[in-house]
Amino acid sequence: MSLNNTQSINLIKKGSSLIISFNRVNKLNAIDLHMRDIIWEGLMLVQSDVQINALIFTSETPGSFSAGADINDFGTAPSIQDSKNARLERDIWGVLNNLDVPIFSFVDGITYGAGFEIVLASDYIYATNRSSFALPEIKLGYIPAAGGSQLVLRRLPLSDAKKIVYTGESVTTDRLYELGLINRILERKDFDTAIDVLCKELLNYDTKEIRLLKSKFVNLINAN
Amino acid sequence: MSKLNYISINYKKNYAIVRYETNDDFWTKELLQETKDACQILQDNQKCLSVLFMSGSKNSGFGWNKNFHQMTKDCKTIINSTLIAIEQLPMPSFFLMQGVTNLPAMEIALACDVRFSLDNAIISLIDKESNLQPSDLTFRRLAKFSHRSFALDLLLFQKSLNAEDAKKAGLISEIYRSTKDLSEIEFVLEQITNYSSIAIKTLKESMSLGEKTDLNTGLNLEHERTLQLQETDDFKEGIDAFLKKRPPKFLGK
Repeated sequence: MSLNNTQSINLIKKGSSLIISFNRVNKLNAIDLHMRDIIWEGLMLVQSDVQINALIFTSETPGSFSAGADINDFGTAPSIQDSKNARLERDIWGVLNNLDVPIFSFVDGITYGAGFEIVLASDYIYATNRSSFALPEIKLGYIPAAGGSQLVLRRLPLSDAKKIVYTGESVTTDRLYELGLINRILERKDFDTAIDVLCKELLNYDTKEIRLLKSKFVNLINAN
Repeated sequence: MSKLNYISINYKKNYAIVRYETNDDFWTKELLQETKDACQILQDNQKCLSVLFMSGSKNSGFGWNKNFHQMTKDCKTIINSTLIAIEQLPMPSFFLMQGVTNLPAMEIALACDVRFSLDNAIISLIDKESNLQPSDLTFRRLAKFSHRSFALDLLLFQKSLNAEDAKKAGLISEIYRSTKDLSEIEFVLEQITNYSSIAIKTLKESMSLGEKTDLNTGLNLEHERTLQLQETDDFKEGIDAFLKKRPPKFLGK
């Protein structure tokens, strides 16, 4: 069931799962303010709908999961105080990293900046062999702003984590698989079937129980 | 170029190479003290944006001093303060593992941010003849390995890792051929010198603090630092350069 089909990003409820699918083809799925609004809407839905027991991120664009935040929006940044207030009101990354349902990401192609930060916040990561992952913010004179600098430290061995952040260079699926971040290497053509199978399987699990256990797990691992 | 007795610091386009120029593989208290002194020199150099620690020889590496464990309490104190000095460097630090790399060089390597290795590296942590235990920092770093068994092989069973296994463990990030020159490694350091010095220092600070805190505190810290950077000329330059599809020119302002 499609809940919000706005072309650049879609919210789809399938079984007990909510799928957030990027589809801003001409911009390599760069996440603009509108897409942020829809991601927020999806997160609020996951929090409020007790029938949902999983969140799945994917992209309908072959070769691109997301190129990161849309740089064109950076010129519209409000004052520091406004930014602080906006974050207090809608802390997307805080909610994502403390979500009480498992997060799955099906990744194909370019996964940079905020795109990689979504992946780093995910519990299960399935990626195609041709995917590449980077936090290139340092090349533009700033630092990862959606949890990247903190998540990468917790998801990867420190040497690789710091190399990724300090150099801004991309890393391959093979390397992230070797280090245990990526769970499985899939082919793009198998994504739809794999998501269907996953959504059917998740119907077998008690939502309340999943939320309780994931919540405990998150509190423990986030406490360092 | 700064020259201490056993260590040289060679500056190249805003990055530094700290080279251990000893003729043998022995580590002494003096060498550790000089490592600390080198860190102080690097701290005082505002222009230096990345640093590589390496042995003077490609093959001899960083061996163990057989007499080192006899230095008792003094040596433990010096090791700990040396590791803290490296950890607190304001710029990203890299370590190149070469040949035999054992305590205390291994601890110095683990105190650095990023580790590379030549293909001839043999890496171990505890010498069978010694009962000297690694520092707390080393234990923290070992806990971050991607495969726990590699950490325990080093720690409990005094095994050594070759470069390939060390990469699988996440101990090192890249392996370079010992027969080639250092240009590939230096390229990584040089690349960082093209970035904004304010952003690099902010990033290093954010990562260092983030390592020692819970995730939500770390996320708030990152957000605070991001907002501070948005006020800099370098941030505006980076965005403008990207939108105009030209290379940025950061001035560190």
